[in-house]
Amino acid sequence: MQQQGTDGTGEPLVAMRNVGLRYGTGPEVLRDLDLELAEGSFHFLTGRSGAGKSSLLSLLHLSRRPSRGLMRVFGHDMQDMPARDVPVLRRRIGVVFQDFRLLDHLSAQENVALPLKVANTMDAERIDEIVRELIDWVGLGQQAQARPPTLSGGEKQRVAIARAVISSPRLLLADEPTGNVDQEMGERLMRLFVKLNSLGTTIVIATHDLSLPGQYGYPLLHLEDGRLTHESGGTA
Amino acid sequence: MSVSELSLDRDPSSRFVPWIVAALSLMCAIALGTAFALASMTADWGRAASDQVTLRVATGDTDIPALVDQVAQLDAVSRIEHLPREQVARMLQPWLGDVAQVDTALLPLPALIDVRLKPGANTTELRALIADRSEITLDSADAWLAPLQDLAGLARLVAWVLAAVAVGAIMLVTVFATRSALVNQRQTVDLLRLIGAADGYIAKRFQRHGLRLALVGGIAGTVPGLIVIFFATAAARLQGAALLNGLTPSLAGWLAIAALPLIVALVATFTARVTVLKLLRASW
Ligand SMILES: Nc1ncnc2c1ncn2[C@@H]1O[C@H](COP(=O)(O)OP(=O)(O)O)[C@@H](O)[C@H]1O
Ligand SMILES: [Mg+2]
Repeated sequence: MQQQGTDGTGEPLVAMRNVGLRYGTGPEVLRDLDLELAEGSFHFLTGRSGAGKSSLLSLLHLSRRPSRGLMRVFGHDMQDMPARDVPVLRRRIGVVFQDFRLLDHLSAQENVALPLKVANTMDAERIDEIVRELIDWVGLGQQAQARPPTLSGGEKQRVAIARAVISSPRLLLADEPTGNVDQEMGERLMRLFVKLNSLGTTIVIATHDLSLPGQYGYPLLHLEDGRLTHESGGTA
Repeated sequence: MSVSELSLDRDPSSRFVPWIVAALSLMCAIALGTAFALASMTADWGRAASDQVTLRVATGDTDIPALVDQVAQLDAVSRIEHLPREQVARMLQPWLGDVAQVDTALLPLPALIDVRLKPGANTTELRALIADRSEITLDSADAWLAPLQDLAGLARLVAWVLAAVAVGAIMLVTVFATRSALVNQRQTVDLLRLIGAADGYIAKRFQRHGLRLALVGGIAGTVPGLIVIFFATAAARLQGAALLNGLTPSLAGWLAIAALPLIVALVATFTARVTVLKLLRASW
């Protein structure tokens, strides 16, 4: 494992040692994971359907605690982290869920604003301003007032991405972001992620579509049977 | 943006809550009204009767003026009066007919001595003085009021228990409604947590919801409760004996009952908060 880890100046954004995850009393769906995500890196997380990609992302966005092993996020040991301090860490992680998880009774604009509203650190006018700018940036200016059920798959995907990036997260996780859209939209979304990465955001994109990483030079994290193998991308 | 992330208003599990809270608030208001009215009534009795006693001396050779002197010297006694024989005879009028026609000297009337005690004094000294004189009996209103006081006290206790049960039931209703609302909104709640909402932020939404429902229910139950208490105690005072004269809540009592919707709303707010925080904490 070479330069997956630190970039020489500081410690990795996320580090896992010997991490395992099981659901309830079931078998371990993730085993012996060792992983480091350097600040500013871009990874594809690959593996067949059921390999554990979404499960690994759920560990990374702190919606589950590992069943065993050590995990450090933004320099904090998660084992010692009191539950009340977790929300603040979560606000620095953006997530694009495979099924979007938009709230159907809110407009696109209100959905995008949620993370800022929930963080409760900004007044409503400032939030409105940022939201409008971001909605335009993802090309949804016309649909800002629409509710998710009336949007197409690609439009929902872009609302979900806007919501994931609105609080300028240091880490952005996306689960099969190109799975629900046609190829052209998929490429547009990928350009969006590349752009965000060039602005400094650390990115992990989970996909079962092995042809996607091939077009980019980013390193792969490959899951098989709950175990991780690190592979370099096209540039290595 | 004023739109709520949690669509609790449309939550079907809370629709019944104001109705139940209203019924329980009505019960609580009436129970409190009963307790407060009984309290004022018995306080009234105490004020009227407790400082007045009568010594009854059986006919015989007792030296009444000496006894009066003895009693008058007690610390507890503020005033003493030996009732004239004619007045005692007049008290017997209902039994004897017109006493003017009767030679009262022939009647074996007891001597009656009215004793007024100083405020706050008790009858211990007086009882000690007459302890070994069997011809003298001490009559006090306390003797026949005491069982009534006990009865009223028991009724007050029952009323307080009912009020407490009503409040406890409101808490239970709130717990169940909050739990089911949380289950119905599970996906939204999970999402809010994933995008960084603190437990307190989520709890606040449920608190507000509980507060609104309980306030509406509390007002809907307390207003008719106040009306019922007013007319029921007024009717009892009009029809009943002088004993019931004081049967109405004190001003503080009325205010306490009128504040019931606020109390109920606070109880529901607190209960909803604790319920949500407890459930969320169980599931990090
Ligand atoms: N919430 C869950 N409860 C129990 N088992 C789960 C849950 N989520 C995923 N799994 C199981 O964990 C394994 C990995 O699933 P997942 O992480 O969704 O894989 P992927 O995203 O790569 O398709 C699968 O066997 C799946 O059945
Ligand atoms: Mg998946």
